Amino acid sequence: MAAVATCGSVAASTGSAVATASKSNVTSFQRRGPRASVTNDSGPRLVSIAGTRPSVRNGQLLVSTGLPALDQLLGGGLAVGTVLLIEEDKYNIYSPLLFKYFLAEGIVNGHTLLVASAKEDPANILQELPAPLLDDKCKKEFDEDVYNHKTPESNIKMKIAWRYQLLPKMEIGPVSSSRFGHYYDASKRMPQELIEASNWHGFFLPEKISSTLKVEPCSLTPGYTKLLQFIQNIIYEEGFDGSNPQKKQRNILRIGIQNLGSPLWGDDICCAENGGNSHSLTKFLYVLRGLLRTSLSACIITMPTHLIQNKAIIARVTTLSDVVVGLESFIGSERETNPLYKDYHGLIHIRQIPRLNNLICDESDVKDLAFKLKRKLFTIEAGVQWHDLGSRQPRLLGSSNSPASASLVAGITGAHHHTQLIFVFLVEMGFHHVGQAGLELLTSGDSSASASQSAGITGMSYRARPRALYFKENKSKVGARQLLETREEHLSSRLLILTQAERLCMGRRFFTAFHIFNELPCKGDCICLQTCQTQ
Amino acid sequence: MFVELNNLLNTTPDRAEQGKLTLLCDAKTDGSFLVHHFLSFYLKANCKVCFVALIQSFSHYSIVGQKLGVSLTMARERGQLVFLEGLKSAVDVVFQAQKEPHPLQFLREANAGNLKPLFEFVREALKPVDSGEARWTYPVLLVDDLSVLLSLGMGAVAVLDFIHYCRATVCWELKASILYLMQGNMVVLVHDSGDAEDEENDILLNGLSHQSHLILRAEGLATGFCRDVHGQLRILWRRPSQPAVHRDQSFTYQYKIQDKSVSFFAKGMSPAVL
Repeated sequence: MAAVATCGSVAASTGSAVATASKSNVTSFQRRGPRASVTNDSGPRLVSIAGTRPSVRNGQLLVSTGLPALDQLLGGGLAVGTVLLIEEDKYNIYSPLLFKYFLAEGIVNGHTLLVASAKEDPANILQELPAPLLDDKCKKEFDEDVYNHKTPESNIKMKIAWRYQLLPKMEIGPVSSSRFGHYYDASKRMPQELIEASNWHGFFLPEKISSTLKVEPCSLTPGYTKLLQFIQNIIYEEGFDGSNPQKKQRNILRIGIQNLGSPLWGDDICCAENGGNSHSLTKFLYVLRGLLRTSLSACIITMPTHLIQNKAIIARVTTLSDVVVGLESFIGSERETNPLYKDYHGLIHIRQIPRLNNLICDESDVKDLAFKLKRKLFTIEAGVQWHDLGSRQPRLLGSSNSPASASLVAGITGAHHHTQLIFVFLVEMGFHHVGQAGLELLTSGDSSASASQSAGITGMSYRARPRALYFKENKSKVGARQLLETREEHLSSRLLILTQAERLCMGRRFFTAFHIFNELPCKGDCICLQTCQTQ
Repeated sequence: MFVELNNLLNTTPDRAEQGKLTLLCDAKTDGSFLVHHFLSFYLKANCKVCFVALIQSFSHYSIVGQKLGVSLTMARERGQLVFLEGLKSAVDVVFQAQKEPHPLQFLREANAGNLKPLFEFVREALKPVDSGEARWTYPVLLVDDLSVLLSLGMGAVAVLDFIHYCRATVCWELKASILYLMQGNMVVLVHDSGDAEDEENDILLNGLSHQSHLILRAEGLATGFCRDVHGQLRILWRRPSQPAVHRDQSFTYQYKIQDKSVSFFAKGMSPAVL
């Protein structure tokens, strides 16, 4: 084991900051055909492709997804050679936007595009791409946006911001000369000259399905087979996998496949539960990933998973993809009228992030993400401010005593284990985790976001147990302090209360507290308390 | 190879048990760190390893292996490691007609076939070479992961047959000329789909659980994501030959994965909490 492959040493040394361009940008996937098998490779290759950057964690080559906020959530960007699967929202309103942002990013960076669709002609899709926001316009709009911050209107400009009440505000503004990740104006179209200058290939299924292309016999549906052949042809002919001796390509191929799995592709998984072709889609994804891993390409796929009848297929598709992002829009659901969500258009769930060349991956701590499409920008925000809870009586799940909202009630509810455990969380600011079945969404009528009043909620996502009960303590700060002072006493009765210091670093302790809860032998119901600091 | 996991399993590369089937299972989390552990463990134990890697590419395992102290490229050159890269082979199989049967031949077939070509590949790879001196201690088959075979169109019964054949070959095979038992080990990874109602996967998982000697089950925490505790590992020994008292022993630990190692601790004893 003394001889370490030189490319391995690059990976090992990326623990230190990868700042200079002389550090290798080599993608960790084999991308050259015969020469890659030579073990004493000439070491790190200096590959500087426009629109890519190495990951700080493992030196992998990353491309931007077109949404800098999403790049941040994915740990810097989408790795070259991987698949980004977007689970479409119910009415397919927001997922085409992400699709178009991805393609637009490719055009701005000069990457080659491959657009595949069964519904729309790729040429039309490209005409509808959003226009990139150039630097000076961006700056102006950001200033205006900050000004409009206090008055939420529906036509504020795009801003990608992380807002935490207690933590310093972190704005991700457009860097003046950013080569990685651009902002786009959804109300304008991409200039025609940029589209014409770009190199793109389109695959429109109704055209290709009738052509008599020689197709290898395969057990996939014909649409998928033709698409795979098409992609493989492009990759080989344009030299993205390095196996073509004539062509030396130093560019990224961005593949976009729209509505994969829908009946328009000839697949029936959205129509029938146990159709004849139930393995077609998963085989397609497998072979596609095989193609991507050996070439300089990245792929975005939108899939209407809410239509797939067989839930097992969704699980398999998730395993076979690398990054899975789900969109859930509020249109048509009861959350549309929920005052908590009045500023947002939907939720975005990062379901899976791959662990590539590493034992761990860069998962973000924030799991509650909401997006909104303002007039121009697509914004992702984390951590919803929780407001006054006092207006509605919380509903107890499976308990016998009903709480009084004005006083602290510490009781054991519905415990059917021999030991009972009560957790009391005092948090200043909470994430409101929504969307889990069975969790009653407590809303408040008063949604004023005053900085002085901060109420926290611990949102719990749970499947069956533990149950979370929400109480509101309407006392002043003195009451809370008294509670903290009696910590020792409460410990004996198995109440665990977080201290003030712990409350302040809520982010970490929040999850740690859940972990404690999980470990203790009893999985009884728990009571979560939030304090409302009234000034 | 994670030293803490070796301590928990009470093994070292020098004195590992032979003839065992180990089942790795993950539910709601990613259990691939266990695959990396066993790969580096058996390479350090000087075994001949046949690795059927269906889900990731060779460079992925190679880079992680380097962090754990083994060099997969060197092992492959020496002949210690036979690596079947599923992703790359699938592309070859689907786009070009193959003359001789390819291990992943079933990708070209419309109906659910069987995994006989794959088994032939494994048997060929782990056949003891008649070179006189015994270079490697015992053969090991590693599969990552079996649930992918279900996604690619194989039935659960076909996969179970494949494992059965492999076990018969790898774990007990009599060599014709010299009567000795080539007792090898097998390690397979299966995903537990949980509440996704994947019946084929459940059949496969239950069938393998009954056959295996050691089950390592990596689960995500029931309360969700935690930065300091990545999940919970359940270790279950199944010793059918022992009296019932000493039979199925089960331990549960929690773990946190770091850059080059995994730290294990008892439930509730995470260093972040204490």
